[in-house]
Order: sequence, then C-alpha cells, then structure tokens
Amino acid sequence: MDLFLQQVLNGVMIGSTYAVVALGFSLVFSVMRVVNMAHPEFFMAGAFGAYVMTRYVTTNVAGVLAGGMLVAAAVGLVVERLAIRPVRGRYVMIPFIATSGVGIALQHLAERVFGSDPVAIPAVVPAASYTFGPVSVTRMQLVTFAIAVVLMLGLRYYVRNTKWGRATRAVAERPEVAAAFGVDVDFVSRLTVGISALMAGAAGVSIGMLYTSAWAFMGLIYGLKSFVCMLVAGNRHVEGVMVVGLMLGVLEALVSGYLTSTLRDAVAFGVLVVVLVFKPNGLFGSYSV
Amino acid sequence: MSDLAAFLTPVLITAGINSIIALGLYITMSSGPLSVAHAALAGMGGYLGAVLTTNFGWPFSLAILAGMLLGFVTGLLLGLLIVRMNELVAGLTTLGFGETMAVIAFNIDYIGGANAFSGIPLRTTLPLVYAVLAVILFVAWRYDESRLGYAARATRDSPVTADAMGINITWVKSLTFGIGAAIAALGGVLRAHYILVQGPEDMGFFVSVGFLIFVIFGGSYVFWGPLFGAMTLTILPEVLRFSAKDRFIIYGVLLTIMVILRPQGLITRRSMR
Amino acid sequence: MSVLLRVQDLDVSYGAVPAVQGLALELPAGEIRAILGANGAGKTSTVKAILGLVRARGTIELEGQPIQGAPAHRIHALGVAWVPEGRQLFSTLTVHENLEMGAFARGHGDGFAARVDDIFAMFPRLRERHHQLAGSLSGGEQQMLAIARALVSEPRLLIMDEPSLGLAPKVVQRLFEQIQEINARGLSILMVEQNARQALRIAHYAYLLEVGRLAAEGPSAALMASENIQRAYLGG
Repeated sequence: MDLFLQQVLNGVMIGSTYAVVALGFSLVFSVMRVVNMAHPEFFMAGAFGAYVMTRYVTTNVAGVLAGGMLVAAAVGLVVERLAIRPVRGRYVMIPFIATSGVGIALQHLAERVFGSDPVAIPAVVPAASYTFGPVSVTRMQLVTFAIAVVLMLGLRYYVRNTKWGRATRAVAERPEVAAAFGVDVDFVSRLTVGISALMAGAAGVSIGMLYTSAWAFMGLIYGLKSFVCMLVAGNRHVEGVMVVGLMLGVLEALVSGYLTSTLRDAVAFGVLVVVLVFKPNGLFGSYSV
Repeated sequence: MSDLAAFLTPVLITAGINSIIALGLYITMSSGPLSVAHAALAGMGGYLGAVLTTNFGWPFSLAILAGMLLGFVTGLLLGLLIVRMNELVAGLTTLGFGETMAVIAFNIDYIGGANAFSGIPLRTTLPLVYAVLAVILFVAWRYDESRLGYAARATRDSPVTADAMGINITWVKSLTFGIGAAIAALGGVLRAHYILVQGPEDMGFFVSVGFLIFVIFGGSYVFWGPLFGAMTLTILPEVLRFSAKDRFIIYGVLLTIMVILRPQGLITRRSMR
Repeated sequence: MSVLLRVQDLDVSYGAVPAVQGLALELPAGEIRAILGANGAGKTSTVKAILGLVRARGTIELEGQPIQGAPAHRIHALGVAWVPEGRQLFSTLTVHENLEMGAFARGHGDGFAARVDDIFAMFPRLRERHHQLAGSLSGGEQQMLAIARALVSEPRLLIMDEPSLGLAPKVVQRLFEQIQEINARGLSILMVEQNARQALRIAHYAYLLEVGRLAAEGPSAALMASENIQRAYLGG
C-alpha cells in the first residue's frame, strides 16, 4: 500500500508536467487546427533557457523560470512565423509536416550548439524532502507541481474569464464569425502559440531542474506523450487533456513501481492504441478537423 | 580510381537501400495515410532477418522473405487499424507504433536490447542492392498502372467518391500499407546485412521522417519521385561532406520549405510527360 | 439620401469556379434592401465579399470609403455587423458571452450594459436565458441571439443572411416585424433571403441573382407585381 501511494504521488507530480505540455499542444490544435510538431522543442528550449540562466545570470528560481519561459516563447514566435502562419488553414497534414521539419532542425541545432550529451543544470532549489506518513516528496517535486498547477489554473482563468480568452474560444469554434465581429484571428493565433510555448517552456524548466539536465532531444519523449494525451482525451474539452496527463503519469509510475521501469515509456503508446481502437475520437470527444 | 570506388560504394549502397524503403513508403502513402512508421517496419524486418541468418543459419534469401512477410502482416494490421481514422489521427498512430516498436526493441535482450543486435553476416552487395531496386522499381511501375494503384489514388483523393464507385476502401488501404511495409522490411533486411548491426535507434520517428522527406521532396504522386528524392538526398550530403548533425538541420529546413512551397514534390505526374 | 453601401463590378470566384460575376448594388442609408435568388445563386458569396471574408474583385464602398480587400475585423470596426446564415452562434459560449463577443470591437464601457438592456427589451426571452449556453437555445431563440449579437456593436449596416431559415411560419412573421422595428430606428439592412415573399413585404428594394449574375432589380412593389418573379419565386 505504501508503494502504491508513493507511486501515485510520484505519478501525479510527473503527470502534471505532461498535462501542461499537452495542454499547450491541444490549445494550438483546437484554435488553429494545426498539429504543432515543434511543440516539444518549446519544452526543450525552456530547459536550455534554464541552463543558460543558471550558468550566466542567476540561480534564483523565479528568474530561471522566467528566463526559460521567455526563451521558449521566442522560439514559439519564430516557429509560428515560419512554419505555421504560411500554412494555417491548409490541408491538415501540411502544417504537421512543416512543423516536423522545423522541429527536427531545432533539435539538431541545439545539438550543434550544446553538444550531443546532456548538459548539467545546477540544483536551483535547495534539496529538501518532506514526509507525510507513508509517502515522501522532495521540495523540487513540489515546486514542479506548483508551477504546473499555477499554469493550468492560469490558462483556465484566461480562457474562461478574459476578453482574449473568450475570443480564443470563439476562434476555435468559428474563426470566420469571430473575424466578422472584430477579432484579429492572426493575432489570436500568434497569442495562442505564444501561450503554448510559455507553458511548454515552463514545463521544460521544471523538468530541467528536476532532473538537473537538459538535452537536445529531451523534448521528443515528452512531446510524444503529450500528443498521446491529446489523442486520448480528444480536443473538445481542454480539461480532459489535464486529466489524461495526470492519469498517464500515475499509470506510468505504477507500471514502473510494480512491473519494470523499462516499460514505462511504452505505457503511453499502449494506452493510445487501446483507447483509439474503441474511441477513435478520444475519451471526451473531438471537434472534427 | 579504386579510392573513388571505395568512397562511392557505401554511399551508393545506402542510397539504393534508402530508395527501396522510400518506395515502400510511397506505395503505402499512395492510398492516403501518411506513415512515420516505416523506419520501424524496416527495422523489424532487419531484426527478424538478422536473427534468422545469424542465430539460425538461414539462407539470406529466406531471411529476406521472412522479413517481408513480417512486414506485410504488420503493415496489413496497421492499415486495418487506421482505416477509419482521419488522416491526422492515423499519422499520429503510426508515430506511436513506430516509437513503441523502438522502445520494445530497446528492451528485448535477446535481440541485443540497448546494445543492438550485432554479428550479422555481410550479405548485401552493391549489385544485389541495385538488382533488388530494379525489381522494386518494376513492381512500383506496374503498381501505379494497376487496378490497385488506381483504386489507391482514388481513395486518397476522395474517399467518399471511391466508396461510391464500389472500391473497398478497407481492403485498399490495408493492402497498400501491407505491401509498402513489406518493401520497407525488405530494405531493412538488406540494411542489416550491410551495416552488420541492427539497433532500436534506427527505428524511431526521426528516421521515418527522413524517409518521408525523400518522398515529399522527390514527389509523392509518381514512383520516380521517391527514387529521385532518396538518391539525391542521400548522395548529395555525402558528396558535399555534411556531417550527420548538419544534415538533419538541412533535412528539417528542406522539409518545411518543400511542404510549404511545393507539397506535391519535385517530380509530379505532369513533369514526367 | 446618402448611399451607405455601394458595390460595383463584383466578381467572386472559388478557385476556377465563378460564384458572382459583374454584380452591382447599392444600399441607401436607412433602407432595407433584399438580395433574392435560389440556392447557389451567389447570394452568400456576395455577402461574404462585402464582409471581407472572401477575396473578391471589384469595388465595395462603405460611405464612399473603399473596403474591398480589407480584413474582416477591420470592416466590422467600420460599423458592419453580420447575422450569418444558420445563425452560427458560439455554441460553447453563453448567451451573455456571445453578446460580449458581439461587442468585442467596441469594448465594455458603460455603453455595453445599456445596449444589452435595450436588446433584452426587444428580446425578453434572451434575458431569461442569460447564462445558458448558446447551443442549448431553441431555433427561434438562436435567431434572436444572432441578431442581438450583431446589434450589440451598434453597427451602421446590418447584413442578414437567410434569417428565416429553419423557423416556423409564426416565428418568421414576428421576426420580420422585429426587423422592421430595427430598421425604423435608423439601421440600414441588407438582407439575403430565399423566402422572397416575406422579404419583399418589408424591403424597399430588391436584387434578384441567378447563377451569380444580376437578373432583375427594382422596388419591391414592382418585383412583386412582375409575372416572371411571381411564377419563379413567389409560387404564384
């Protein structure tokens, strides 16, 4: 029972970062009908941003987080300009391929700049561990979780309670009508990509600090899992992606704890196949593409 | 002269093998689905063929057939799985499949696990590769002109119309996926018996995207396209002495530019006339 | 009377397929004018061209100011509001949020609350359903909301596309009365309608499109009296 609880806790911690990355990815898809295959690179950029910040600027958590997020946002705007805006609205596989190309170029560019081996990120959050009965959790894990929760709540608030959030929902459902009521759809697209990049970047900073390293190809596995989350949840209800992300984290942790950790990464794809066979539109339904 | 031959032979062999796999991808994609699983399919063929020749002493030709059979069956099943999905979900499923296969290969110690399967006997030669390529080109040519080829293209261009014309979409998609996968597996077996090592890192999304770009760059509508794409994009970087890292940066940029500006690829049906 | 909207030589094509060819029409300020015609005649394409939602060739002027080629959100800011065919509400937003979207360009100053009150006076059922999701309203209520959404931006020109579509006859009757009331307050209306009879009853002038071209135009009385029109569109 102790192992179970501990693994569930670990799973929720990691799952929260999956949820954050998946949310940004899902948001861009809902609003723009674009699968941004370069989204994992926003995550990676965040981690490298954190690396650069700790190396040259500051080791203050807030500063590192902000720096990482800004780097990711910058990368996001570049990707939007080069690979998304020119193809938005075209047959859906074209943005998929275009962003794949940019993603691959970015990964190898990072490899060129930072090397093929992971770079070390110094511990920014002083190591500390808290025990609550049978389970224990580190301070870094809590920080990671807190960041994720703040981001998710922030996104929810933005989408539900702000003028631009409302406009974003309107564009997601009926871009033409939204434009006819004064919404600059291009701007909303840029904004949405920017937000997704900020979120992925923050997750990248968290993971970079948690595992004290950054690597050019680290985005790939997170990206794939967030794609899986989006497919499993369907894109109709953004909250669904959060739930699936958390569940995936927990499932992985349980498999790691009870079976074998080497199968951990296969859990996501196993779930994907099973769900898609029975519910091709995801657990919570999807808008058609 | 022999220096040149020593330099060119590996490049030509790799180009030939890439062309074979690219043609497999071409046939799969001719009925619509975009697959990023073909590197994994090739890898699966490679693993099976390698285990058969190395551990069980099978003759090379039988190992090839076994690999192709595995590829065909897997491709057929994958095709059946994605038939009712929209293009996007299908593409992402092939992605999931490919990555899962890579992860599984990573974890099975019998075939080497993370250290890859090695000790494979050298069986692939330049003449063999090009003989096989010639056969596959012939197959692709006949395929393009065959009823299945037409049915596939009809399915890709307008599934609703194809269905109304009486084409069995399920059958067409699965079959083309299976055939394309078998050809990719064939390429995989050849590759394994040339590089003499078969590892999980050759099965992932990246490598599949590499084949995808051969097809997209060269042209996905007629069988010369993938050949041209694979040959050019394999030989040119070698000749220009790009290191592997830079090559992928260029692939990535090239892929993005091509798909934005000329998604039908450089060689289209029209340009062949 | 000044001309609010003037369209000349309008050509709209989707790829190689022409939808509208050489169309000219005018809307003087304060009038209701109708665009009639069968399905596929090019009515909605005309409207979308005016709204800036599709690319078109020709001249479109709003109070003398050329607007062809301008993006839709800027045309809206000039005072043009749309009641789309089939309503096209934001179904995942509430009634109130749809109204907020209507006022997106104008902002939510004190004016907004007053305008919403005004609109609820005209459509009391919407006030009851204030916080309901737009997707859960009945057909007639959705039409009211679609009109309300357009009115909340205080436009100069209201463009309505098939307002009677899918509505019961009694509802349509009331709807057209309300459209006249709105027009009586000074709002110029360009209306696309398949229901020619109802449209001609409240419009001052109408244009008849056939296969993308202007087939006839004139004051409503004249069109209603014309035998051809009677036979083809009024079932008489």
